[in-house]
Amino acid sequence: MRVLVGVKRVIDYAVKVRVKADKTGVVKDNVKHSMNPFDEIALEEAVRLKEKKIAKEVVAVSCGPTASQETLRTALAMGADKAIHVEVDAATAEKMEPIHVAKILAKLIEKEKFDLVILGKQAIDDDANQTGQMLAGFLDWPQAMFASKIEPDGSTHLKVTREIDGGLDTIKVKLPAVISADLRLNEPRYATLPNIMKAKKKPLEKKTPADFGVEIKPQTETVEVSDPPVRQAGIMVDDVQSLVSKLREKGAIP
Amino acid sequence: TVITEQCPLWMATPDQCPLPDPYWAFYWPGGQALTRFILDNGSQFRDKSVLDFGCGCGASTIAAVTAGARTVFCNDIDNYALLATAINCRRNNVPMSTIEFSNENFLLSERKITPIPDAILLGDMFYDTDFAGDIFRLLRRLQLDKPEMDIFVGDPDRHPLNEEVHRKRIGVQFERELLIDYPLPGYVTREHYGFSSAKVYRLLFV
Repeated sequence: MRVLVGVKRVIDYAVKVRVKADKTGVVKDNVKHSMNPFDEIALEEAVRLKEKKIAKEVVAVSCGPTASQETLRTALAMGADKAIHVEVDAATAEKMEPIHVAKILAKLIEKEKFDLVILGKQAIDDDANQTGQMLAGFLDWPQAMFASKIEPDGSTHLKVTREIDGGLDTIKVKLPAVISADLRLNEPRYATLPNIMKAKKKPLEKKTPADFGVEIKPQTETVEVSDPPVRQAGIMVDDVQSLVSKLREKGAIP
Repeated sequence: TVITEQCPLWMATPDQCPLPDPYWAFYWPGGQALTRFILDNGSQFRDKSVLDFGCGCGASTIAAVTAGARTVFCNDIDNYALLATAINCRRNNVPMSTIEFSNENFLLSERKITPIPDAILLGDMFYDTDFAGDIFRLLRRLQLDKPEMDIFVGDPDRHPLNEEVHRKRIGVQFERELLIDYPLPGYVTREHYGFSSAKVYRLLFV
C-alpha cells in the first residue's frame, strides 16, 4: 500500500497570533512556523502503518511557498520515504484555498497511484476542514474523517473509528480511501538527530500547480481580519432578586 | 560511545550538535545487520583481509576482528569515527593489533586502496544517491582489479539501493545477491523511523 500524507506549514500552535494593523491578515514575518499538528498525527499514523508492514511507502506532500520545504524535511525525518513540494510564490500561497489543494492532490494521486491518503482534519490557521472531503469527492473515493483509530480489515478495507459530536462512529471503508486525522489518533514522534541526518538526503521532488493543470484562482476574498472582541467583565449580583432585575434590565427576560 | 535516547543530543537538531555530522554516534540498522551477519558467518571472514569502509562506530570492524580476520583496515573520513571505534574496541575487550586505522578519503584522493582486500564491508552507507554513485564507481574499479573481492552491504532498504529509479539514476550496473533479511527488533525501529527489516547483500560489479 502506498500512502500519501498532506502536510501544511502553519504558524506554530504556541505562538500568540497578532492581527496586522491594516486588518488584511495576521502577522507572519519572523513568526515561528511548524507542521500543522493534525498533519503530524496523520504522518505518524502513516509511518506506523509502514512499520507494521501494512504500508510499503509513505510520501509526504505540501502545497506552499519555498519554506514548506522545511516542513517536508521534518516529515522525512519522522519517517516518510520521499517528499513532493508543490511550490507557489508567497503571494499565491496567501490566496490558496482547500479546493486548489484538493485538485492538485487529486491529479497527483491519479498520476502516481496511491492506496490511501491521510490528511490532518484541519489546518490550525484557516480551520477549514475541507481538503479531505473535497479530495474524496474529486477522486470519488470513500472518506473517513476525524479518525481516532485506523485498523486494517483484510487487505481491501480499513476499519476506522471516528470522533463525532455524539461519540464514536466506527465504519468500514474500502481502499483506496481518504482519511483525516483527529487529535486522539496517536501521539506523533519527535524528529531525532539520527533521523534528521539521514533524511537530509531522502528524495524531495519539486513541482508547481501548473504541473497538475491547476490554476490558483481564489473563490473567496478576505474582507477583514480582526481580533476577537475583548471579553467584557461580568457583574456580580448579591441575590436572586438582583439577578432577576438585572436580567429584566438587559431585556433578557420580559 | 553512541548517542541513544538517554542522551540530550538524541533530540538535538544538527546545528545544536557540538560535533559535525556524527554518523559514528549511531548504530545504524544497516550496520547492525552487517555486523550480525559477520558474527553469524565468521568462517567467511577468518584469515581474510577486510576493509570496513565508513566504519562509523566500528561495529563491523569489531565483528571482523572477532571472526578472526587476518587484518582489518578500518576507514572513515571522520577522525571521531576512528576514535569511537578504538573506544568501542577497548570497551568490548577487542584487541586492536590486527586493525589499521585510516581517515583517507578514497573517493576523492589519488591514493589507491592497496592491497585490495579480500572483503569490503559497507554498513548503512547508501542513504544519498550522489554519494552512492561515487562509492559504486570505486567498488567497481576495485572489483575489476580483483574480481574475487567480496562486497558485503548492510542496508534497511533506503532508496538509493532499494529503488530502481534511483539505481538507474546512479547509472552503474551491478547485481545484488540477498544473503539474509533480518527483522529489526523493536528498540531499533523505535530509534530509526520507518524501517522494519535490514538486509545483507553481496554486490557484483563485474
